[in-house]
Amino acid sequence: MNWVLMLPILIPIVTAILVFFSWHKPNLQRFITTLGCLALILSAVILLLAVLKKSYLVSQMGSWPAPFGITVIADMLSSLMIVATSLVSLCVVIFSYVDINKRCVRRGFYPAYCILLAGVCGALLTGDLFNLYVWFEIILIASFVLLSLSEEKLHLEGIVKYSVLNLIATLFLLTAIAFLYGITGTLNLADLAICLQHTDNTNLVSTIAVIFIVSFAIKAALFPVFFWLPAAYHTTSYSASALFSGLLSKVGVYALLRIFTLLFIKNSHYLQEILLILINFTLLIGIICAIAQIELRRIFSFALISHIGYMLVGLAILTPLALAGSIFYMIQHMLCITSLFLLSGYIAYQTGSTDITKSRNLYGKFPYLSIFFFICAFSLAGMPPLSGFWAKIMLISAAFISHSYLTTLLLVLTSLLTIFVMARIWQNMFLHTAETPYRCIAPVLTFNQKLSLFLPIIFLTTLIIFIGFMPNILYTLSNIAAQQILNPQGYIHAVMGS
Amino acid sequence: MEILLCWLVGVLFTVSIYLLLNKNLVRVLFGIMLIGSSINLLIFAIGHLTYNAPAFINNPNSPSTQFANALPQALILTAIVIGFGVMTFSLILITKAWQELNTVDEDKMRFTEKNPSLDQVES
Repeated sequence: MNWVLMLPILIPIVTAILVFFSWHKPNLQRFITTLGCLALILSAVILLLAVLKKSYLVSQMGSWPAPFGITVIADMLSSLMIVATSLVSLCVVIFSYVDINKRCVRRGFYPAYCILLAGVCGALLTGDLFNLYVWFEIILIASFVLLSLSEEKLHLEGIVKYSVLNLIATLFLLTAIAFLYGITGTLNLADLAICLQHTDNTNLVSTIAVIFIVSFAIKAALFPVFFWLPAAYHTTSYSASALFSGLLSKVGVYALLRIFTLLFIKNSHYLQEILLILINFTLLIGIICAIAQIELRRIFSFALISHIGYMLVGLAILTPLALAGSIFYMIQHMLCITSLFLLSGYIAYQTGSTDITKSRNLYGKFPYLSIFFFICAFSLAGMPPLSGFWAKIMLISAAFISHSYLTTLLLVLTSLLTIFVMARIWQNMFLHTAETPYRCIAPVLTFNQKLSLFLPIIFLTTLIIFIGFMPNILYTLSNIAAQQILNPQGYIHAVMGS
Repeated sequence: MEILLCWLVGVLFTVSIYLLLNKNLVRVLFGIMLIGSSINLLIFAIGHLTYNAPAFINNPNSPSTQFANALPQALILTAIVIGFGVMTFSLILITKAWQELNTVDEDKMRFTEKNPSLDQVES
């Protein structure tokens, strides 16, 4: 058993158990969860360093040899994702000190939070297809709890859409796994990769691949099936929506990257075309929907959908540069979008509304807030010195080199429209000095409360600026990750031995 | 037997997708239940099951190489347990919807809730 590899799964589970035992003590729960997230960051960094040294860390559960037992494996992509996950989780916990009141804590916010983290880390580390399904179900059930725990009246419509569509996605995933097990007789990803290389039943394999695309597309919120995301994310507490925006759809993207590069790379030709069409629509329609919204979290939700397209361009083009760009984009987007959702929460606590037609003159009232919002929003849009710019330049040049001119055009256009959307928020909420007839009631916060709301935003923004000015670190790491997932032989060799 | 199972899976999938497309949330819940069961049957039908074979072989050198494959049952069991959890949550959600909004129709549900963008007090 490799402890470095198991700790990112074990720490959230142990934290969840400890939090369960302190059910009636909200402050103790907050303290334990914060400690758990700090430990998660530490273990994630150790895992990243170990992967950097050995390139693959493999552990077989119960010492059963590879195709029989459950494999846990970390490569550069999964360990990078785990580092980003742990950073996001710590920030959201600190934000939730104020955002999640004691009544919600007593109903079980933090246990569900830790279990969600365990689910995400498990899905990122598992090397077994059925195990992946189980982790997805764990994420789903924990996110149901977080979604329905909010102080306001239960927004049932959003929860119903979220739960039904995501349940259908996992059921589709189970169907695809059943078919794949039927034709190969194995569930280990590396073993499946070997079996599918030698199978001649390509039609059935392509059908299965399409079922996988449907299932993960719902999870990742791709074009025809993204409606659950904007319906649900703005209905819950700010902490929960920030966590969801940072982690949930990215796990879907990760699963797509992992499964397709490993299993279906042989008959990926028209899968790539299908994906490219879906991505083109996602890019454009997400951002066009964002233009029509006036509520801050709904704008960010639609922008998030559009930017899921960026993260999958690498999979559709499948060149090293494009994949590295996608991974770079995904990591920095996790930090950036979480920061923006937290900022919308902060704005709501300061002004009482997140409606861009109601909150006005924020630049005059809260100049520091404005600086941080400006950095995050325009990093999302891809302004030059910030982190989003480097990822976008990688993706756009990769798409141009591989002659996908329509996608190149759409990538540039989406970038420009994102700038438009962010500038619209900036113009309406920050620069507009005329007061609206609406009077919004904002709660009065003490200095400590403001600090706990603002500290995570400062931390995430610092990270974004750091990535923006030192992109070579993340660039090198995502290049290694892209090389690894483009050459599945290393993965197969690490799991199966000789 | 396998042909029969295949037809059963097909019919159950059709029925459950019909139910999932309904506006009534109780029917949607039944659809999810039914699609879960039909996927379990699907694993059962295509999961390399062996008939009349021992699950454990005492003597590792025994001439019979035929032994039962226990994995599909394990997969189905896991899926059933997860299905139970999800089902309970959805049932409570629908009960809550019925108590608070007095409807289980998704179209009517939208109009009973206030506009999310106006979630703060105006005066």
